[in-house]
This record gives sequence, structure tokens and C-alpha cells, in this order.
Amino acid sequence: MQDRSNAVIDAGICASIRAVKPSLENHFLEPETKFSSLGLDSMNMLTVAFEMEERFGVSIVDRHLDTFRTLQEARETVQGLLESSTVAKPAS
Amino acid sequence: MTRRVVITGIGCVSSLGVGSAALWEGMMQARSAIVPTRLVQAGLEVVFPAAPVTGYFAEDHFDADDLPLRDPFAQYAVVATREAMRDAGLGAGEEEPGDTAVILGSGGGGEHAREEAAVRLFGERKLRCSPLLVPKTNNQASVGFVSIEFQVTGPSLVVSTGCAAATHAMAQAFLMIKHGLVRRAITGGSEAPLALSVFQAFDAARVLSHTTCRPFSRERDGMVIGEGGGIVIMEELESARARGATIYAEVMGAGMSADASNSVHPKEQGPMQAIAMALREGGLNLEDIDYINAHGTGTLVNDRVESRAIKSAFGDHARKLTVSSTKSLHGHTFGGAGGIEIVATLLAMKYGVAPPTANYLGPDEECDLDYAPNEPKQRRIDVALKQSFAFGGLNAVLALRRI
Repeated sequence: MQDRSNAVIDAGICASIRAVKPSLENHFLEPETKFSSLGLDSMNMLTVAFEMEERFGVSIVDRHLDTFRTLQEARETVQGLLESSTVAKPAS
Repeated sequence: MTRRVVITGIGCVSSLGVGSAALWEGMMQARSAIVPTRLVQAGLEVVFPAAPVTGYFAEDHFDADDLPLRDPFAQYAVVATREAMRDAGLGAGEEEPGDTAVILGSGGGGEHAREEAAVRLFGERKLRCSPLLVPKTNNQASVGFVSIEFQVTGPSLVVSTGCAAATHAMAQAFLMIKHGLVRRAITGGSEAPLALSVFQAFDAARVLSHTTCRPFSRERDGMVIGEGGGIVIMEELESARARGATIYAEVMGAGMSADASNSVHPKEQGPMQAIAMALREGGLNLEDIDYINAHGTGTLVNDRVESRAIKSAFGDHARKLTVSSTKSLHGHTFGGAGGIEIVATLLAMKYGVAPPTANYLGPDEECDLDYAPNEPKQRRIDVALKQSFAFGGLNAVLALRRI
């Protein structure tokens, strides 16, 4: 079962952001840091969501792209999607 | 009223190195940059002779944040443009930004990103594509990045006529300036086709060499793919003189034609017609021409038909011409070829040396002109032609004169 601890999910989200904007490599993100303040435009955010889908095996772009603006909100979105996918596929 | 058009800046990225000086140095050393090259994708591997760009590290030229959106072909266009603008004594945000055009050639656009996406989609069966795929693979990405970096707002477009794309693009730029639509243009082309799928496609058509590129030579067996780009700054003569710019050459004429015969098998009539148009428009006589930078791919058919076309177009004067193909040195860069090769032609005119046709083993029955075999050839070059031909039977020729 996938590790859903805050630290692991935060690390995955931060890695997704760095894949899109490598200059944020050494930038520490607070849970309440707004992504817009990092200079991420709409195409960047789409790509961050794409990277998060890859890392967490969830589908974000179709319905959940507008549900998060901060690290904290992104973590909650991912946690929610991971939990619902586990409920839907208990045998795996 | 038409205006005279001159070239005031050149820039280049090629397998001979980054910069026009590296291109010229390699050509004068007759150093072919063709090497055995391994292409790997999705667990498949092929090895072909190819001419990858050397001495180029993307991180030296772009911020890390800018790289995910820039496929190599777009990077080469920007890097070559920086050199050409610097060479022309121009910078970003010049006065009247709407008075400058950006017209570039690219046959394939973002081939690297496209291949990686295909592997993911059909190989790994992942339906979701990267949101960057479209802007990264678009053929016009190079034009967009150049216009953004140099804050140019005039007519901006990509020309995509395969191997003739850069020469066709330069013809459009020339005509726009000549007829007063714009005063200046950033033009040329770039390509980055070193992808396994591209090689397999061209190899299937039996046009790739498995040895090396030896244009117009006996025992030639095909072309060798390279990467890179070449850019020139064209501008209206009076404007160039007014700002004291150094002038490489005047663009005298552009000729364009279609064979209207066969998609892949060229005919001499089309190139002849394009040559005649370029000379007519430039008010040039056959005897004025000193040097032709040939399309010269190294395939059996192209070189035979191109030599025939030159002999038919020039008659007795064909024997007085020097004709060379620098593809033997830097490979065939498709939509970037005309750009790199016009830089080679302008430097040949500047220094009075025709770059060589490398890897030449001796005359072929029908290829019996002076191809500057294996060594640069000293000769004064006042008027030169750059000719490019593409699949589809599409031809473009530019005529240049020293002033």
C-alpha cells in the first residue's frame, strides 16, 4: 500500500513542482505557500498536476485541478484521491 | 518601389561546434563531423553515421526553468539568433519592433519530444500526455521563442518545406524586405532530427548512408543526418548603411519552383527553373556566378540530378563554377540546412575560399564538375548561389552578391 504520510506526499508534490521549475530546487515550501507566488503560470500548474498524476497514480487534471492553490490543499487533494482509489479497489 | 536587401549578421550551431567561427574553422580544416552515432529509445537501439551538435550544453545557454519547454531545434534557433543579432550590432527591443520579421524553417519541429510522447502513449499505454507536448513539438516554437527573446512583433512564421525550409524561409524574408513590408528580418532555420524514429523512417526510404556523406563522389551511398541551425539578419540596405552595419552580401534574388513530377524522385527542370528565377530577379547573368553551395545530399539521385541541372542551366559556364556540398562536413540538417549553408556561403564570399566537399573519392560518370574535393579552394567569390531541394519536388535558390 502506498505511503500516505504528509511528508511523503509533500515530497512528491515538491518534486513535481521542481520538475516543472528546476530553479525551485532549494526553495522551501510552507504548507500555506501559494503556488501562484512561485511564478507558476496556468501551463506550469497543468504540468505540475501531470507530474503529480505520474508520481501518485491518481487523476487530477480532469476534475481536481482547481481544488488546490497551496501545498496543504494539494496534499489534501492527493490524500483524498488515494483513499478513494483504495476504497474502489480493495483487493489490489 | 523595391528596396535592396543585405545580410548584416550571421549565427550558427552545428556539428562543427557552436558559432559561425567553429563552422568556418571546421570547414577550412575539411574536418567532417560525421561519427558513428547510437540512437536508443524504448529498449531499441540503432547505430548510424550522423552529425550531432558538438560542444553544446543547453544549461550554458538557457535558464533551467526555460528548458522543459524547448526542444533542441528551438534552442539552436535561439542560440544562433543571439550570435547573429550580436554580429549585426542589434539587441532586444530595437526601435520599431513591428518592423522586423522572424521567418524560420523547420521540417520536423520537436522530434525528440514527439518520439518520447509516442513511446509513452503507445509503448507504455499511458493515455495522459504532457501539457507541454503541443507547444514543445510545434514547428513554430522556434519562431515564438526568438520573437519573445528579442521582442520582435513583426510578421512571424515558420516555413516547413522539409530540406528546403530554411532557404524558402529566407526567400520570404527577402521578399518582405524588398517589397517594403518590413525593414529587417531574423531568418534561417534549425532542426534536431537525431531521433531513432526519424532515422528508421529515412532508412526505410533507402536514402541514408551507412558509411559517410560523400556528395557528388563515386561510391556515394546516401545522406547523413545532422543537427543544428543557421540564422542571418537581413535588412534594407539604406537602413544598414545608416547605422554603419557591416555587410556580408546583398541578397539579389530568390527563385522557387516545384518539379510537379514525383514526391521523392527529383527532376532537373525544377531546380533549373528556380536557378533561372533567382538570376532573373537579381538581374544576374550566368557568367556572374562564381560559386554554388549545392544541396548535395550525397544520395545517388540528388547529386546526379543537381549536377545535370547546373550543367543545363549554366551551359559552358558550369565548368568555371566551383560547386561544393558542406553537408559532407556538418551532415544534412533538413529544415536547418539552408541556414547553416548560407552562413558557410557568406563566409566563403568573405574570405575568398570555397569550402570543400569532403569524403570525395573521385568523379562519378554524371557528376563531373569542380566540387572543391576534400580541400578548401581559394577563389574570389563575388556572386554565389545557395540551393536547396526538398521531397515533394520543392526547390529554393538564393542569389548573393558581395558589395
